[in-house]
Amino acid sequence: MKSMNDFRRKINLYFDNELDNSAKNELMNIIDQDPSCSKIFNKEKMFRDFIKNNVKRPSVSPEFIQNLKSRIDTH
Amino acid sequence: MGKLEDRRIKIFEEELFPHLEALKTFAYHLCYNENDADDLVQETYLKAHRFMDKYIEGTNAKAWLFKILKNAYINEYRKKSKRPTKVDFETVINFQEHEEGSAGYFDLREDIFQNMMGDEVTVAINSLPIDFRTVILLCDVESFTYEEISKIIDVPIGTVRSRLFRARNMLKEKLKTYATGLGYVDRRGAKEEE
Repeated sequence: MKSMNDFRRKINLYFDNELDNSAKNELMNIIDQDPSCSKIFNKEKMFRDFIKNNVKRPSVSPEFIQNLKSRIDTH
Repeated sequence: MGKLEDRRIKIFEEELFPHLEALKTFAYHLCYNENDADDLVQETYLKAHRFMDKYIEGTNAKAWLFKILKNAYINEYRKKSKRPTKVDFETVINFQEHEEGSAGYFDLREDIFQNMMGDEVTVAINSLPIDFRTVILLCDVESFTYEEISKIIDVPIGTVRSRLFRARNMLKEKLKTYATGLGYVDRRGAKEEE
């Protein structure tokens, strides 16, 4: 691992599912062996989960779906 | 004619309509309100219907719809939007397209997340400039790959990556500001100040 920035960049790629298996394993080994790296990893995971779980997701009403289908049919 | 119609109905039911809620979420965070988001989603599906001959059955319907929605927003809706979004790159020139290593990472403490309600996430995301908001929504909320995002927003993959890096740092800063407003105290460095 060249630097902490490089490590953080790889953590981002890991959570974005952009690392191949070999790079993933390498990253996991580092995290297992280094508590400070593990802490950074967990913080990023918490941030990602927090965003994903708390972003507002407005519902789509049945009326909207029905109206949309009618519009498409007559389009 | 009957077969074509059957195919169209099948594609809409099996491949396009399952993404209604994801599209509504994306549209909501572009438009800032549910009524406009509904209009944008409806426009997206009408365009999908109009350009159905361009869609190859069984391919990436979700990415196709998101691209249509994004283009509809930029080309038509954004002009009508009451809320100005022109700030984008001009106001964040220092945040633009640097490689990740050229600027620091912004760090949040774990307990910030415990002190905040979910609403702050929506407020914080919606306060990001449009180009940064878009990549956060596509990657962190909808889990698109860099390649898919690159195609949806028409920028190179390297730009997607650097934009995400900047967007996440901006988002963390905003969340920290909200947390401070809620009474959270960052004690890092407190000894030096005392």
